[in-house]
Amino acid sequence: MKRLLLGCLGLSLAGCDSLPRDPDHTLERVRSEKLIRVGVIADGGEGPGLGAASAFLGRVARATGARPALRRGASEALLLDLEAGKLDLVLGTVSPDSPWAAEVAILHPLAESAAPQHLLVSPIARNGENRWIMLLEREADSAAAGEA
Amino acid sequence: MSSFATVPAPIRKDMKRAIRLEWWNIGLTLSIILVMGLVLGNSQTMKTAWIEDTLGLVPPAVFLLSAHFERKRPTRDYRFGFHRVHSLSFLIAAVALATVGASLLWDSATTLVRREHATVGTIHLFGHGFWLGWLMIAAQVYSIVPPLVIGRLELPLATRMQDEVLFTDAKMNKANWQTGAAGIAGIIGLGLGWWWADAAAAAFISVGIISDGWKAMRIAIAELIDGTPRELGSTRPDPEAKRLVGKLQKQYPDAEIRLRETGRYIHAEVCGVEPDRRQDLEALWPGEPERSWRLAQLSFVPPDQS
Repeated sequence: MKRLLLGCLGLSLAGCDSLPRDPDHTLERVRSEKLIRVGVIADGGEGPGLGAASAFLGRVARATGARPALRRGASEALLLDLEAGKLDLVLGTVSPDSPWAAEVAILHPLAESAAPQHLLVSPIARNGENRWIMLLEREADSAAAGEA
Repeated sequence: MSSFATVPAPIRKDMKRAIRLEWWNIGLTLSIILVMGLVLGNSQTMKTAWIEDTLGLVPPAVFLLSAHFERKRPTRDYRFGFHRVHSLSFLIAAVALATVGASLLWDSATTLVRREHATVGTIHLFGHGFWLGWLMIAAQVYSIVPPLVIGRLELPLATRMQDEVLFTDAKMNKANWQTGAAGIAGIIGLGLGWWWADAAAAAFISVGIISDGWKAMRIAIAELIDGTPRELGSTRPDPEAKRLVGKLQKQYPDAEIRLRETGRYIHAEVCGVEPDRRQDLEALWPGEPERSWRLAQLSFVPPDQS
């Protein structure tokens, strides 16, 4: 067991930069195909959130060298496609009470949506694609800081 | 504070050491629960490890409780004293251990069946963004050290004191450090993109924990329903008790010899004969003389009442 622990430690130190990886290789695929498949929830990309979402997408595009391809639709359909790996990213609002909150990774919010609900517009990624999620979180934070 | 006068002299020192060790155990476990709670994140494995660390408080707590009661003298309402509190504590500790194993198996099985991919994102520290997984690994490393050390220190004490609660706590500590090691492997596996790695490692370890918990529950139940004394940490009959039965049977060939365990002590009954001589319990003990304290009582049941 001691050897196993030492082995794990060595492996983890050696892999500091390369971890985490995506189980379904989302970031690798985005970089190699130079395409980000983005779903925009019909009521999420409008109003005050639109500018922030565009700035964020611009940053992600620059960071990956890929072009975003937008598809607008209802949240249910887009989130199902995200879960199935047919989309890389969804932009919009998902209530924390929604059953989807546990099925997908709702990242740091970009902006508040229009009144009266004041829901947060967030990038939403597929659960477990941790490398891709880290990049999206970094760009979301930078976009939020840039706006302020 | 109750005195140690009721505790047999040969194990008095061990008892004091075990009590100190269990207070350390509780303090360190609380610190682990706090550290793990700060980095739980979205990982189900980390949440399960946190629940297990919390359940790890049960055996040391019930050990301290039973040690407190063991040192109390019999009262008017409890004429036989409080040795049975130890048996009850043992059952509680055994159930806690089995629950840890079962919850680990359930969690890992559902993760594998539902193909759950855990999201572990970024944490910002000192102006830099880090993968939260590294912090989780650091917390898991911290959570491994105290149970690994304490469990090893407990085993010789449990053997000398014939203490099933302490023995079960040593098993619980083993379960906790193994779960921590599986957690580290799991987080690294998650980082490598193997979403199933932590669940598979946890499922593998849970089998051993369930087996230990189940065995401890069987021994505890046997003790509570006056079964034959069992060997420490085993469902096999206690060899010292077997030799005692043989020795008594030789002295009273027509009698039925019954032995039962209350906590660490053995009570012997010779049924069907009248007491014919004065018995020295220390001299009667067939095992090592420094363990003769285990035979706490010898009673006789006359022929017409057995």
